Amino acid sequence: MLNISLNLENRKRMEAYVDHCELKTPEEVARLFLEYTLLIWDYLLVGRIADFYRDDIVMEHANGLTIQGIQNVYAGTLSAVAACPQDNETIFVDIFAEKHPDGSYSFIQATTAYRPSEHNGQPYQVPEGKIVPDGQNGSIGLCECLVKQVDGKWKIVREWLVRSAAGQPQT
Amino acid sequence: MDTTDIFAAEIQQLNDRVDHADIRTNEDVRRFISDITKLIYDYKMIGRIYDFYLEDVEYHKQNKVIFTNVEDVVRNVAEFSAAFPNLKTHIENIIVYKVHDDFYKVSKRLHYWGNNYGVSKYGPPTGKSLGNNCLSMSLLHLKRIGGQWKITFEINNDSELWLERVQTSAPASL
Repeated sequence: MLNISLNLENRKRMEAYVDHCELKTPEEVARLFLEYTLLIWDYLLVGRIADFYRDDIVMEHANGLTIQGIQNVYAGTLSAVAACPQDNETIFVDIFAEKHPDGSYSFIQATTAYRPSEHNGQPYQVPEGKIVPDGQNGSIGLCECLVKQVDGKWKIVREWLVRSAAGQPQT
Repeated sequence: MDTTDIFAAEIQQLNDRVDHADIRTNEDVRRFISDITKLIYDYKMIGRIYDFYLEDVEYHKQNKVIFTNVEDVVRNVAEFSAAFPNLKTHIENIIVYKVHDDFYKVSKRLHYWGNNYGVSKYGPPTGKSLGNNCLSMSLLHLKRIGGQWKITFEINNDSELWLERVQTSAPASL
């Protein structure tokens, strides 16, 4: 995880956006779930899973694995967070969203893990002409979510996730 | 009419559609991506990859597998298709985001259906079915370059463990 103590102002800024975002445009949705993901995985606010996930969430993973229910989401997230090295950072390769005719959204995010300690403390950098550094592609995870209004609140009602064995966990 | 006649007619229809695609909306992109996916995988028109991918495409698969040119992509798809000669794609969702008139970001979620009826890098065919367990997701950049729509960047993650299991388990009676 990044040095949270040095980034508390950043965390507060993101929390303010997540708490007040009205999901009016695909761009807002993309920013919302980028910052929401970082709050959970990099700032360790795991309890915020409750903000957007339903009790009966269904997550379809690769290889025929399906995870159902919010308690399983908490368990899996906590397990992965505990196993992450201290300086693990979530890097967003990309995130974008599309609005459906019924007002719901689908978004896709591609993330990878970066540890400055493995790169002489240097920040994540992409070589010119590339989108992902060659050394990072081993852990790119793809996550798609369907977001709908349920009882007046925006909720992730379904999620699909495929990552490599060494992948960065997703929201 | 033979099924081959129907197959050939469907290929021709898809070829016509992608060759004359006039991409202006998200729905146009969705149709185009769906069509080229079907052409390549379901209808085994592997050579059309050269039409749809930039020659020096940046292509990432899981576990540090990187393709730096279209030849690598073609080889990978050819090997996969050979291992699963009755391969079908069940496309479930395509998300489209317009960056500008000549650039769209796209994601695609599908399941591969088929049987390991062909030799693969894992060995002889097993006959086993993928069932509905082979979820595959892609994120790609579609750009108009020189008047042609090309995929310039792609991340493609498959259900690698399931694919390996289907191709390495004990052979089933065919």
